[in-house]
Amino acid sequence: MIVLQQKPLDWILERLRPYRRVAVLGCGTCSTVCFAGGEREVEELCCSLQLAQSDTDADVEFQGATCKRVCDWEFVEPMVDSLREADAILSLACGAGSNLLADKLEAPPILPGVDTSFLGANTGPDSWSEMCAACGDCVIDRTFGICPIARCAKTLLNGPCGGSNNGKCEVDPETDCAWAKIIERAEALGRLDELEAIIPPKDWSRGRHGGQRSLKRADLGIRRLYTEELDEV
Amino acid sequence: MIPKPIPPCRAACPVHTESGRYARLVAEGRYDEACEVICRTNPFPSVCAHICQRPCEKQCRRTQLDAAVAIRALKRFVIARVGDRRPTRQPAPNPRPARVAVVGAGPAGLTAAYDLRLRGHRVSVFDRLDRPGGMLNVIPRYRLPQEAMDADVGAILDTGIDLACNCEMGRDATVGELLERGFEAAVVATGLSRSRGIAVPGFGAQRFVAAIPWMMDVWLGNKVDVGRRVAVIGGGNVAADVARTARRLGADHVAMICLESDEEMPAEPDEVALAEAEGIHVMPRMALKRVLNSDGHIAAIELMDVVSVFDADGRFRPTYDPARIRTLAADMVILSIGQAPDRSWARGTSVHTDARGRIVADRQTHQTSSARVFVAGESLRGPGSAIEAVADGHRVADVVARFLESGEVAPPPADEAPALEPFPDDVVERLRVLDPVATEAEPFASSEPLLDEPSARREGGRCLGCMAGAVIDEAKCAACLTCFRVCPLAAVELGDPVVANPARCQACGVCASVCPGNAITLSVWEPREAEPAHAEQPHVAVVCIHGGDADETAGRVVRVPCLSRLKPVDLLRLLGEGHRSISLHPCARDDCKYPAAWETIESLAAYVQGLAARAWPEARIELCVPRAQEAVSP
Repeated sequence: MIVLQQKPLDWILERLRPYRRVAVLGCGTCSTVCFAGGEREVEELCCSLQLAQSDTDADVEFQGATCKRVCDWEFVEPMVDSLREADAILSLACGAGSNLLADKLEAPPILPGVDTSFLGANTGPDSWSEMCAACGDCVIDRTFGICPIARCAKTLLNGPCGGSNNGKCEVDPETDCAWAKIIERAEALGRLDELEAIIPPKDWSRGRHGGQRSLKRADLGIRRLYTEELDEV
Repeated sequence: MIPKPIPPCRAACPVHTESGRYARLVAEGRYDEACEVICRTNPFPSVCAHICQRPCEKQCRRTQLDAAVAIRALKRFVIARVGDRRPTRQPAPNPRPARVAVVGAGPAGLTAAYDLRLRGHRVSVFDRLDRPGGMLNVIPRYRLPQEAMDADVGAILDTGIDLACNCEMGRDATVGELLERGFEAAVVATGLSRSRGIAVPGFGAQRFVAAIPWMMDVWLGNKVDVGRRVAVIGGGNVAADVARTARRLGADHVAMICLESDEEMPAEPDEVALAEAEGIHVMPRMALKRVLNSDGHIAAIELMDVVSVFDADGRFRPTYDPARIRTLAADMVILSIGQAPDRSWARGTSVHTDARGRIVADRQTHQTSSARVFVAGESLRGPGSAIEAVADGHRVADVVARFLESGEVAPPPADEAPALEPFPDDVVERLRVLDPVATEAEPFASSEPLLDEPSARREGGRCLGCMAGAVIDEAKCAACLTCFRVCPLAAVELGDPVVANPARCQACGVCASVCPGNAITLSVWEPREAEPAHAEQPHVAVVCIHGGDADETAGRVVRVPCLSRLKPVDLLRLLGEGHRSISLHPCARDDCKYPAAWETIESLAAYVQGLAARAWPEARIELCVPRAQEAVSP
C-alpha cells in the first residue's frame, strides 16, 4: 500500500491562511489504513484547524468529507459540486489522488495535507516500512525476495557496502541492511553460491528516470459501454 | 436467512424483555428510560419485579465466570425509583372498534385485555373474585406486596377497560350470552384455579385442606384456620408459599413433604432455601400414605418412602416402598400437589371438550371449536409462571386483534431469533470477575431487600453487553485490520467483509475508538451521551458511569459508559464547544470490567494531548487516576 503521513499542523495552517472556506478531503483507502487521511483524520484535522483559528479573528470554515478512493474519479464525482464551492481543497489523499483532483478540477487550488511517503507494508499495529520503490524492473528473483532498490540506502545490486554493520545499515542503525538479509536468506535456502553471479545494470528507463509512467491495457478489452463509446456508435 | 441472535436474557424471557438494555441504562443512571424498556413488553412490571422466576438470570452469560446480573432486583429498583412517572400508554385510534370480552382477570387475561384495548377495541373483563389479579391473589404478600399488584392492574385498567368482578361464567352468565350481547370475541383465561385432590384414607377430614382456597382465604383477608403442626404435601413453588405462610400464621412445626428428591423438586431452589431458613422441614422423596384421625381430628400422617418419581421415559409415574413407613405428628394437612382448570365457564357454549373434559383448542391460534371463543394462559398451557401467562396474553391478543380486523385466524408470528451462544472458554478467561450485589431476602422479612442506588448502578454495570457490541460498516471499512489487532477478546474475524463476532465481543468500544475509517459503531450503546451542555463553563469532566469520580461542581460533566470508547475527536469537539480544560475520569483499573480499557484510555489521553498542544496550546487535558486506584499504587 501507499504509506502517507500528515503534514505538520503549522505547515497546513500557513498554507491555508489566504482561504476562508476549505474543503478537507480524505481518502478511504491507503490514507485511511495508515492513519493519515481517512474519515477519522479528516474529523480530527477539521477540529484541530478550527481550534487553532479560534483565538484569531479569522472566520474560516473547514468542511470535511471522505470518499472511497480519490484516485478513481467516479468516487469523487458526486462530491464535485461541494468541492468547487470551497476556496481551497486540502487533500489528504496520496499524490496520485491529489494530482487527479488537479487534472479534473480547474478550481479551487489543491493543497496537500499529507506527504506521500513510500510503498510499504505493515510491520506492527502502528508501523510501516518501505518494501518497494516502484522501479518498474523487478529483480527480487535474484535477491531471494528482498528488494535492494527499496531497502538498501544505496540501491546496490551486487552485495553490501562497507557500511553494513552487524546486519544494520550505516545510514540508520535501526534499519536492517538489505544485503545482510539477502545473504541470510540465501544461506538458509542453501543457495549462497548463486549470489556470486553478477546482476547486470537495471533498465532504469522503466523507473522514474524515464519520465511520467502510464499503463494502458488494450488487451483486456474493457471499454465504457454506457457513455462515450455509445455516442461513437 | 438465519435471524440475528438476541441476548440470552432476552431470549429466555417469555415476553422478550430487553433485560441487558435496562441493566445498562440503570448503570448510567437513566432510570426513566430503563422503565420504558421494561414496560414496553410487560404490563406487569411491578409484579414481575417481585415474583418473576427470573428465566433471564438463569441464561445470563455472566454465570460463565461469576454470577448472573441481578436482573429482577434491578427491575425492582427501577420500578421503585420511577414510581408514578412510569410511562402510560393510550389506546390507538381504531376506525372499527370491536367489543371483546375477557374472562379472568389474572396476568394472561389482563394482558390480553390491555393489548386489545391499546389497539383501540372496547374491552370488558369478567372475574369470579371480588377483585382483579386472579392467581396473583394467592401469592403471599411478603413476596408480592399488594401495592405492586395494584400499580400494575391499575395502569392496565386505566387505559379504559371495564372490569366486572364477582361475575363467574357458568353461574352468573355464560360466554355464549356474552357473544349474543354484542361481544364480537371472547378470550377465556381462567387459569388453574382448582387444587387437585388425592385419594388417601382420611382425605376430607376437617383440617385436610386444599392449598389454593386456603391461600386465597389467607391473602384475601378471610378467616382461616391453621394448625400447630402443619404438613404441606407438595414440592412446587405454591407448596413453598403455603409452608412459609403457615409458619407466619403461627404454626410451630411445618413440614414440606414431596415425592421428588432435592434436585427434582419443581420449586425454585432459592424459594426452598428460604423456606428452610424459616424453619420449614423439607422432606423429599416421601409420599402421603394415610391420615390418622383421632376423635374426628387429624393426629398424625403416615408417610412412605418414594423409590422413583419418573419412569425411564421421564414420565411422572412414582413408585413407593410401602414397607418403609414413618409417622409424623400433624394436626393439619394442606394439599399442594398441583392445580386444575375450572371448566365450568364452558357450560352453555358450543365449546367442545374432549373425553377427559378438557377444552379443545388450537395451541397455536388459541381458537376453540366456537370460532369467536379463544383460550389463553394456564388453562391452555398448563401450569406456568406469571410472565409466561403475560406472554400468552400477548399472543392471544395478537390473534384476536387480527381476527377482528380481517376475520382470519392465524398463529402469532413465531419467535425465531436464537439466543446468542455462550462465550468461548478463552474469552471467559480474559473477562473480569465482578462480585454480584447481595439480593437474597432475609428469613421472615416482609419482602426482598430493595437495592440502594450505588448498588443498583454497580450491578447494572456488570452486564456484559451481549449483542450491544461492535458493528462494522462494510461500506466504510478499509480492512486496515486495526480492530483485529487491538481487540483484547479476538472478536474481530477477517472475512470478507471483516466482522465482529458477537459471541466474543463485550462492547468495550476499543475498536470503535481507533478505527481510522469511523466504520465501527456499538450497536446499542453509543458514546457521547452527554448531560445538558453548559458550554460557558471552562472545564468539562468526562466521567465513566461505572465508577469514575469527579468533582461535579467544577464544571460540566459528561458521562460515558467507559472512556475507552471515546474517539479523539469527541474530546476535540468538547474543546470546540468552548471548554478550555478536560479532565478524564475512568473507573479504577481493578474495577474496570473491560480487559483493555485502561491502556486504551491512557493512549487516548496522550494522543489528544498531542493534538491539542499543536492546535490550541492553552487547552489542558488531564487523565485523573481514581482515588481508589491511587491508594493501591506503590
